[in-house]
Order: sequence, then structure tokens, then C-alpha cells
Amino acid sequence: MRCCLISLIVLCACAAPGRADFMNALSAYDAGAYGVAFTEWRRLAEAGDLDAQVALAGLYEAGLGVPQNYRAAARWYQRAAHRGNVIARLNIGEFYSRGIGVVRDHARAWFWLSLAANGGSNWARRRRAVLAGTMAPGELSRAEALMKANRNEGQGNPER
Amino acid sequence: MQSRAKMLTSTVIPLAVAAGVAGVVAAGSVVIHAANANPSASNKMSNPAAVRRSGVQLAACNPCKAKRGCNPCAAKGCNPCAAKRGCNPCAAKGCNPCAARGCNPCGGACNPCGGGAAKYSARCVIPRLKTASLCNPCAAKGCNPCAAKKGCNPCAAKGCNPCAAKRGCNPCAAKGCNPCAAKRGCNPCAAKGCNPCAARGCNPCGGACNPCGGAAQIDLTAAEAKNAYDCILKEMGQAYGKSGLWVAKTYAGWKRYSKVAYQSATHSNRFVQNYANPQGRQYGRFEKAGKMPEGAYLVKDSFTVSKDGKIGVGPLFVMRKMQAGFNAASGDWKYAMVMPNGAFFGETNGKNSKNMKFCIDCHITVAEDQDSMMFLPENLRN
Repeated sequence: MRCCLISLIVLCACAAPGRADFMNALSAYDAGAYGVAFTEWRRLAEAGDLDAQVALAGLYEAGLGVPQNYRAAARWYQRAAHRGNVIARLNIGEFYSRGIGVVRDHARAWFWLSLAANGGSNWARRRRAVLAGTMAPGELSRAEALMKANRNEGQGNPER
Repeated sequence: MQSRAKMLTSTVIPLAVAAGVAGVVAAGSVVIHAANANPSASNKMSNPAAVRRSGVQLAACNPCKAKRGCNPCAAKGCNPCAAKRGCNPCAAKGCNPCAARGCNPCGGACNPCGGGAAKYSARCVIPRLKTASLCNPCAAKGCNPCAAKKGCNPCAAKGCNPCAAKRGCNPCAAKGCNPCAAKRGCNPCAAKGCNPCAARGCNPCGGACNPCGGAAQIDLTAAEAKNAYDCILKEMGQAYGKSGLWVAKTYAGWKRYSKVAYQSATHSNRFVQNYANPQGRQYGRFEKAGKMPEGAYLVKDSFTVSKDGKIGVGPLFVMRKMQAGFNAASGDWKYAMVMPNGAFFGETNGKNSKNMKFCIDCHITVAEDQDSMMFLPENLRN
């Protein structure tokens, strides 16, 4: 019990600066100090902060605080998407559907949009419906296969 | 009165970075921006690094930096496409060494100029700024230095030196501020040892190293601001809609309390508009509004304008008046900010509430007199 308590305290002590840094980065972003935001979010993202990974992807995508780099944006969205972030999933789905930062792949786009939709995103649901209307039968069956594989794995991370 | 003419804002940091934009502003144009009237707020971040606005034009200028092997200028005597296709590596598919290898310095599927959905709108632009920037090889084209006009083609003209080409229109050459042109005379991007910014992962056209400007403040006429907003509104709706927030989908149908989009110094010089829902209609009385009722929403959408007239979606700022006792420190307002990729990282008294503390810190300065609301200048009120 005491061990758990100590662990909790240590965990809180470690976590607190991270959230403070995230907050500072968000404040800097709001203020247009994108370079500051980028530096902080990258550090946090590399340390595994999920929100920072999504935020960092957004900076790469928009070219704020860093030269625009869709491939880097896609990489960070993908990392966060694997960990279940709905915003990351719908964005990487959109990237796949349009070939932004990744090779266009409607099956993967449909797959990620589906996961985002399953996570409650109506935006992803609508986008997936539009996408589905443009997909060839082969693409749809591949997308469904991805979903099936994902369900079998039961973790939402089929591309590992 | 002036002290009351504060902007509805969720930030405290004005970034009035002086810029060379004035030179491209048409004489007699109506300036659509508003400065922060809150002196205490404007002093909160004086760190030069913090005010370095390296973002908006950052990637727009250096198409060569991203990947050395992917630099169409550095390779083969500067521009391998000039000879073949009139110097347009973007238009000429077969001639674009980057697109062919899936190595697109500007992103996008295969068109390094087209890019994706992100930074700037593919449809919306401020024509005057775009035209004015054409003679500036850095500010002009986000991606393709060769695509502009013949006369402004930095590769075709005079041995490929973008700085030597046009004395009159090149702010770098004129002021001797291009350290690369002097030494190498040709490709400021390829010259590693010569480019002090690239070495540090910094775009020579952005941030502190920006030899071409890097303006934070763009002046638009009322007509330009209106057209820009009308054009970008749909894309803003798409972007904010990703968040799944009800307010993000709904706000555009509410009454707007600003005549046109105006530049807000307290929002990092983004262009913004003010909306309120029916419960918040008394916002329209501005300084006489008094305490807002529970359920009132105040929303501000935003967009950015680059020096060369490109328009990009900015964040969505939301205030919602909650029941009495909700949060004394915030004046019972719930704050949230939606990023252009749909992410939102907290709301007052909700998940990651602390992330929104900076909103409270700013708005609290007018809590007593204006129920934490800041108002736009009178001439912009609708």
C-alpha cells in the first residue's frame, strides 16, 4: 500500500511538469509563438504525450514553428492514431484519402476513418461515407479486411 | 473609452512584430486590425524567442531546405527543369525530380505547389498581396520559385540569383541582408555553410533569420477582409467540425457582432470575427451588456493571412457562461480552443482544465467591469 502511494506521488511529480509544459506550449501557440510551441510539443511528443503528438502533427501539417512537412505530420498522426486518439485517426484517415504525407490508400483511409467514427466522430463517419462512394470493390474489401484483422487483434493497432 | 475597447480574446500576448508589409499596402486602404488596449497584457511575454513569429511564412520560402537530395535548385546547376520546361518544376511532372521519387519538399501527393489541405487554403487568397509579393522570391511563392512570372523568375533571370535579379524589388539584396548571395551568388538554399539559418534548422525566410520580412501584421481593406472571410468560412467549418464539438458546428449560424474580419493583436494578429448565440445576444450591447446569462456562448473563429496573400485557418476560441459557482476564478466562464486539425486540449473545469488557464489569466483583467468580455473597436461593431 505504502509502495503504491509512493509510486503515485512519484508519478504525479513526474507528470505535473509535463502538463505544465503542455500548457505553456498551448499558450505559446495561442500567442503565435509557434517555435516555442513546437519545441515543447516535440519534446513531450517524443516522451509519449498523446496530446502533444497530435498537436505536433498539427504544427507539421500547417508549417507552424517548423517547415511544413506532411510526412512528419502523418508520422505523428499515425503514432497517436495507433494509441487510439480519435482526432489523430480522422486526420490520418484524411491524409490517406488525399495522399497527403503518405501514399494515397483509400482502404487505409476508410479503415482509419472507421476507427475514428467508432470512437464517436461524426465528421469521420460523414467523410467515410463520401470516401466509400469513390472506392473500388477491391479497395472496400481490403478496407474491411483491415477492420477484421483489427477486430481479431482487438486493439485497434493493425499496422504494427 | 479606449480602455474599454478591448478585444474579445483568450490570449495575453500581442505580437506586433514590425514588418515590411507596409510597403505593399495600397495607399488609402482601410486598415482592419485592432491593437490590444490592455497594457498589462501586452507586457506578459517579452522574450524575443517567444515573439519570434517563425510559423506562418516559415515553410513558404525555403523549398530546398527539407531534403538535400530533393533540392531541385541545388542539383545540376540550380534548376534542372529550367532548360526543359521553362523552369517550372511543379508544372512539369516529368521534370520534377522530387515528385518522381515521392520526395516532395512541399508535401502533397505529387504536386509540390498544390500541397494538401493544411497550411493555406487552395482557393482563398488576397489578390493584392499576392501580386505585390511576386517580385519577392522568398515571400511570393510558397513552393515553386520558378512558377511565378517570367520577369520574376529567380532561376531564369541573371544566372539564377534571386537576390541579384531585381535590385528594386529585392529587400535582401538592397539591404545587404542576404549573406548567401554575396558569397555564392546563386542558391541560398544549397549553400549550407553560407546559410546561417538552415544550419540551425531555421528557414532563412522565417523567424529571426528572416531576411525578407516575416511580417506579423497584414493590413487588409474592409472588402479584402470580407472576401477572405467569405472564402475561408467553409474550410473553417470543416476544420473545426473535426473536433465534434456542438458549438463548432453551430456557431456560424449565430449572429455575428463584427462587421468584417479584423486583425486582433491579442490573437497573434490572426483575423477574427465575433459570434454569440441567442442566449448571449446582450453581447451586442457591448460595454452595457452587464453580466451574461448562463448558457451564453461567445465564439471567435480565426484565420491567418500570409504576406503573399495566402489564407489559412486559425483556431476557434469559445467562451460559455456557466451556472453561478461554476468557477470563481474564470467568472463562471468555460473556455476552450479548437485547433485547425480539430484537436482541443482542455476546457475550464473539464478535462485538462489547466490548459485553459491562459484564457482566464487574460480575461480576468476585465472581469469586474465587463464580465470577462473584451470588445472589439466601435467602428467594427455590427
